[in-house]
Amino acid sequence: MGWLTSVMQACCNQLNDAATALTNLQNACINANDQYSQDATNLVSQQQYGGKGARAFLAEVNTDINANSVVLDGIGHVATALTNFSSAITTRCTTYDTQLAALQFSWEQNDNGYDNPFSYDQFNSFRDMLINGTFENLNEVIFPARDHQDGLAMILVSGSAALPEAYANNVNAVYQTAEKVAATLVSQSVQFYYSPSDQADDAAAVQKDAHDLVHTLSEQILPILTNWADDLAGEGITFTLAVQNAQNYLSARDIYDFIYNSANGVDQGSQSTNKPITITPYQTADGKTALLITISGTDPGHMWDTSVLNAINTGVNGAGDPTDNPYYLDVNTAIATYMSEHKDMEGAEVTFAGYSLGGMVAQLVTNEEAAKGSALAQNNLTVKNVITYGSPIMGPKYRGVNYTLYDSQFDPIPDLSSYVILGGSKDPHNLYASNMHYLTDVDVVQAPGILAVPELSVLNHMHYYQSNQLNSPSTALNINPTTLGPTEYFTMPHSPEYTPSSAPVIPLA
Amino acid sequence: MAYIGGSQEKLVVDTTSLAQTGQNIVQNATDLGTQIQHNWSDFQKHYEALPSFPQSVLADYYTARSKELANLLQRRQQVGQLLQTVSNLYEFNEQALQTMFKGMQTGIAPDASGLLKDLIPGQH
Repeated sequence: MGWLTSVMQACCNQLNDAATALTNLQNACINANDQYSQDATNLVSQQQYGGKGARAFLAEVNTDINANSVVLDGIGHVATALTNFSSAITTRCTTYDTQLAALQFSWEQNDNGYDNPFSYDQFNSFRDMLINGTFENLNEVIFPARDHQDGLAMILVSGSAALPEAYANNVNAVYQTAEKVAATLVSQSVQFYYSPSDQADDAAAVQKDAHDLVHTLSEQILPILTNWADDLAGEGITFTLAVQNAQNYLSARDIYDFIYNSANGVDQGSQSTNKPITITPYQTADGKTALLITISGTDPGHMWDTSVLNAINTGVNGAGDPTDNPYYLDVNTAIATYMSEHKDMEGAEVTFAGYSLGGMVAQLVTNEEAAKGSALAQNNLTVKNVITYGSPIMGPKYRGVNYTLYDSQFDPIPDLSSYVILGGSKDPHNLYASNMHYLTDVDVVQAPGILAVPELSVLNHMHYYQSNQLNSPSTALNINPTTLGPTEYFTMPHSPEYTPSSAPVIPLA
Repeated sequence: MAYIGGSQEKLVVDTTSLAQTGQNIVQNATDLGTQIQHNWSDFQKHYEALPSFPQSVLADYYTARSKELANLLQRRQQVGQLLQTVSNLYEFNEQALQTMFKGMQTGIAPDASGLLKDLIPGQH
């Protein structure tokens, strides 16, 4: 482990552990929310409680849950901020450790024309002392230690400001050590081979070599430590802002949680249920009324609308008549049903968020916004945002829509639409370059056997919930997180599997 | 069992599920409170070991979030208790519920006794 990585390791571990504790806290609350909603849903789904009052009760429970999501999502954002801070520190440390390690090579190549009397080990020892001693000085002399952490805290706050003093104090100590080493070498009558020959082979010359060695080394190390410290302070500012801003936004991962959340290893959300479509009212940051419509992905447990077969059908025939697609019709019906119950939402903006097949269908529904029979057109709804997770692009952009497309590392599904396959790339006509985002912080799984490459494992399609990159403020949309109303869940009436028992829980007129 | 309906008729309804749901919600909230306490304790342990800089950024975090989570738990307990207390469908009547739970939209935890008063006249 490198010098800087080692110095910061304890801090990074504590940041990660604190993040884990917060994530566990958030997950516990998410699980409880799920149970709370389920209890209320089960109660209201009973026939004798199916009236308006009972529906109001359920709506208020779901409103309450979404209102509290500001707090819970905020806890998740802080957990992500802690994790990101730790990762950023580690990355910076690794970068500058590499530079410090490279000094060894540089010195050997930087021979001044005569053999240096010091050994490799002695050189390494001086370098270790110059680096490690600086931190000891920082912690114990300049900032008297509280578990050797206060000096590091000052670096995270003020960057390199305190480093020169600590470094200078330490360099003097290293000079003294080097001179002692030189004296020992002379006393041991070590044979030196100086060239040019005018260098006297005596103690003074060896001591000068020692001094030169430490001086040269120290001149090289200080700028590296300075840059490292200033970079860490920059990461500290990012961390501070992320914590302060934690409750001010709804991240792409928060939205994904509507579909799939693997809190404590238990799947939550609408994915792989009989009600894979959700609609939630909200207000934009500038006060406009809007709807968040989430569409879950392929569910091998269903044989029709969300089946693998229909996913393939959607990918192949995406550009064809969407009214042949039962899942498209389900989404259209869900919107029509919701709007029949919420006339006040007419004219609202719409944000679609879809996972896998859901993202494909979100694009198709958006493309048909103005079509006759479209529930969007009939209710004067305008699609403003389409967010997809692990979905292939289905065709050119629709007018005025902001697309945000997230592809997890090695996820094979975004390659599977006729538009993509025939075009020969994920974005065949370079229309979405600024809209595509690759997630690199999720587990990677290799396909088994002779297909052992991650690009062929569909398991890499299923880890979006892990991504802290999805949870950063930069993924936020124009959604005021305090305005989320009750989420309503919609089933798939265009499926032969549909039965009254799998009808929407809220009895809609 | 409870009798409901207007003056012209009485309908017998099994309210077991109402009470049971209330009990579930109360129990769920209680369990969540225990879990939250455990997780906060874990967080505090790691927080205290952090260098002073990340600590200072998170200085008020525990206090602020604890209050919000306590409010969440209190509200949920009250909803559960309310359902447990309500013993017939008249008390579960539509108008009362609509009025009652509308209060939750304000973001202020409803006063359970106030809600019960609205819902069950003369029961206080």
